[in-house]
Amino acid sequence: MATQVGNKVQQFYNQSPFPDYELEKFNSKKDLEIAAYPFARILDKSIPKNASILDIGTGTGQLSAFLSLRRKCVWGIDFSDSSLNKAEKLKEKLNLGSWHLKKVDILDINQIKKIGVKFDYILCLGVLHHTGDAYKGFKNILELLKPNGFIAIGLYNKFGRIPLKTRKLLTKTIFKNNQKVKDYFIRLQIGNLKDKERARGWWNDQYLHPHETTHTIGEVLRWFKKNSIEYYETIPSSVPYIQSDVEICGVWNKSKSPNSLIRFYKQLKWIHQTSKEGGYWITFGRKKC
Amino acid sequence: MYILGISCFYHDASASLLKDGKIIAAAQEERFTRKKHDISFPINSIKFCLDYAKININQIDYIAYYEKPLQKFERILYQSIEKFPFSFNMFYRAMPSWLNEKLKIRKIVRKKLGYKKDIFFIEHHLCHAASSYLISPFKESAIMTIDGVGEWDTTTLGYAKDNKITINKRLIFPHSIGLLYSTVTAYLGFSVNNSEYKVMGLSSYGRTNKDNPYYYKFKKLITIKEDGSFELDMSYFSYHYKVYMPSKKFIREFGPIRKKESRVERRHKDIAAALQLITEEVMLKTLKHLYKETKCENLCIAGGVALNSVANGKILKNTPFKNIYIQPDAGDGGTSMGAALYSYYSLLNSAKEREVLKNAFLGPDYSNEEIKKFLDGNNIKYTEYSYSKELIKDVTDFLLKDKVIGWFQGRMEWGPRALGNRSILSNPTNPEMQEILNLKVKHREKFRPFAPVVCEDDAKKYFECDIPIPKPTDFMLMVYPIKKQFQKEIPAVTHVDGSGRLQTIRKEDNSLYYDLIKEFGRYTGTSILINTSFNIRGEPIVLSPYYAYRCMMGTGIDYLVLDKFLIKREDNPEHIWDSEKLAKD
Repeated sequence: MATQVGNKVQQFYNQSPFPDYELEKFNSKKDLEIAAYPFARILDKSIPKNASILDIGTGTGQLSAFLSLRRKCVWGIDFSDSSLNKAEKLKEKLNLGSWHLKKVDILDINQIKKIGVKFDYILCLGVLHHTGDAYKGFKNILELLKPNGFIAIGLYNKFGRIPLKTRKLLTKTIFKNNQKVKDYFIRLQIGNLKDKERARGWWNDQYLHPHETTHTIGEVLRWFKKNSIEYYETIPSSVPYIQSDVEICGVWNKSKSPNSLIRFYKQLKWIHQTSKEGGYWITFGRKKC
Repeated sequence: MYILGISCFYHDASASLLKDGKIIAAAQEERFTRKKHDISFPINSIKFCLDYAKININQIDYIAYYEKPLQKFERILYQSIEKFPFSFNMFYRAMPSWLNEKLKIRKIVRKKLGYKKDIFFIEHHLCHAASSYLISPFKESAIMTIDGVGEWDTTTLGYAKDNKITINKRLIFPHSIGLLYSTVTAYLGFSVNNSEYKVMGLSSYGRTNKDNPYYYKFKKLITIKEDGSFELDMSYFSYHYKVYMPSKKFIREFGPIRKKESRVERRHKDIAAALQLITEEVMLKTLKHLYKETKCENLCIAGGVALNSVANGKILKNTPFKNIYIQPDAGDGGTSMGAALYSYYSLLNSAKEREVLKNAFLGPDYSNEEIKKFLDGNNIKYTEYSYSKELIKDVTDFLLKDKVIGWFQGRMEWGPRALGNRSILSNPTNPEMQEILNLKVKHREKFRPFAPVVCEDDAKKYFECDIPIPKPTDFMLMVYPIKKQFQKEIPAVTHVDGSGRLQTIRKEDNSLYYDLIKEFGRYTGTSILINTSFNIRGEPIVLSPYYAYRCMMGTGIDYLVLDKFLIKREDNPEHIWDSEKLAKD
């Protein structure tokens, strides 16, 4: 990622690795399990035990480390050295043999081709919108997906991000450095502030990030179509009728793709619904053979 | 083989999981959603069942649903047409849920759970019958199911041998003792499908003999025949085309309706007593007839009316039956279990030997680490005990000082009663304890009694109970008179008529609880405790340590025992808030 945006983002992550955590908190594999977020557990349930997984933009690696506990082959790639260093330390400490880490820039197709392995599952959660060229990144990572392999793409939604963008603007212009407002905004998103690290991590990621883009469901559907990826579903749901329960059925459930009217209606709803996550949504799909 | 039973969309949604004929997990949805008698699709209960068994939905072989929706829909249509246009409002209100949910069960199950195999739809009263008989220790048994209404049936009589259940006689809608009870519950100002047990509690205050003038008034609206079958005069009711409210004719006969939360007059007590008399008369006559038909000494009963513990306590004394079995959740919640059991044993005929249900502890449990994590994470001060003996000793001390203890252990109970894993305990020998409990915790009506818990081997010392002691006493389903000489010793649990809703506890089911009661007995000479459900009035029983702690801090509970952790109220004053406002009907 030799672009200006790339350098800025790389610098940002080298200064503040994400998701940040204290290494001392993890003394055994069990600690990793206890600390896993609900969504990580759902992913763990949805992906078979014998599948190989690639986590793109793994950062300090909490998710991929957790997924590697019960699997033989889990890769985490990132382009920030300091994030990867921290992940390496965790790997050594907990002796996670099935977890592989590598520095890769996903916008550079040569680096991608060098990896030489293909995966059953690719997770690219909250990464592409920070790269500067989301579609290029998306196309490149598909090189690493086996035919019939599954993919999950997490992005910021154009509509859902509106409340956060407004808050961001307010903190930049009116409430400069007002700690109370800052605390209130963080609390809006993650509930309590007791976990100082998490609060700081959130603030850095959501409010201080040097580069982010926003996308719509339609855009992702078009990416899928161009690259012969079959649409499965989104979280939160983008259809008005009953959707499968993710905790029971997992996240790769085939459903009809929503038409433009429904997409518009649902994304309007997301302004409120996903305001806590800053308009973040995930689309699931599968590569046709 | 795994079979999942589901009951929902009417009242008390629940899910039960069967593994090779044995029930390994079951829970009601209300505990998870914190909405009492929640009727929504029991997604949380299903998640719990799957997690507990460590399986995913693809490993489930069959799903069983607790009723036949089309037959029930037919009844609703029939009711509406028969009383058109008076029924229009009922029809109009009922249709959306029928069209969106109740008629689309198959689709909802497939979509929500991602389930692809077969679904069985089993008749409602057959589910009731199976829920009781197929977990009972009997090889053959007579069966009575009695509730509000299923598809069409309101009361059924049947017989079961080995795994085969047959229903021989049935009474159909609108003649229903359950709906009569509900109508009077509404008339007395309590909530329907919820507070029927309050009417039962109230009945002891009225005249329970035939001097009660209301008994004869009830006789006008119900004709009971010798075989126990009965006919209601429908001009007194309106539940068949409107809401659960008595008709004008009923009000002319019995006087004005009692308003919610208003004073309970003598008239109300007499009406409740007369209703209880009628219910018992119907039940006992029916059972005598059932015995005549089946000549079988074992009896299984189920259905909402089988939760009427006052009537249950009189069955063995007044009928030729020798043994009785009722399942812990005899009401509609239990039908999910019945549906799964019936599928496994009767429809699929998968096994000859049945698994007897040992105890009602089938719900979620929380490990030591989880509780510790919760306590540490919320900065709650606590004491951890390594030895249960020390814990028991300290808790007994508190009980003797008339303190109120929240008792949270192991797996949650199945059914509407707290049986010692999610209970509030206190000292029954103090005559003021009832008032203290009401004031501090439960905020409930004064007339409602608290229930005693006794070790199984001590039960016959204190109670005039049937011998051998029937299994349903483990599930708090039988009311027996307390022996005269002990009534003064345990005033807090002696009801006005000298009876007590007995719960027995066996050492093999819950040894910590058993030891605690025994230890309490060593100091006081009375091995009995007050056991009431761990909740505030109007809330479901607590599920997790979080809700237990919340309940404690919102009420006047002095100590909370979470597994082996003791939490003192005075150590954590910053978390206290007022719960009185939260108490509902």
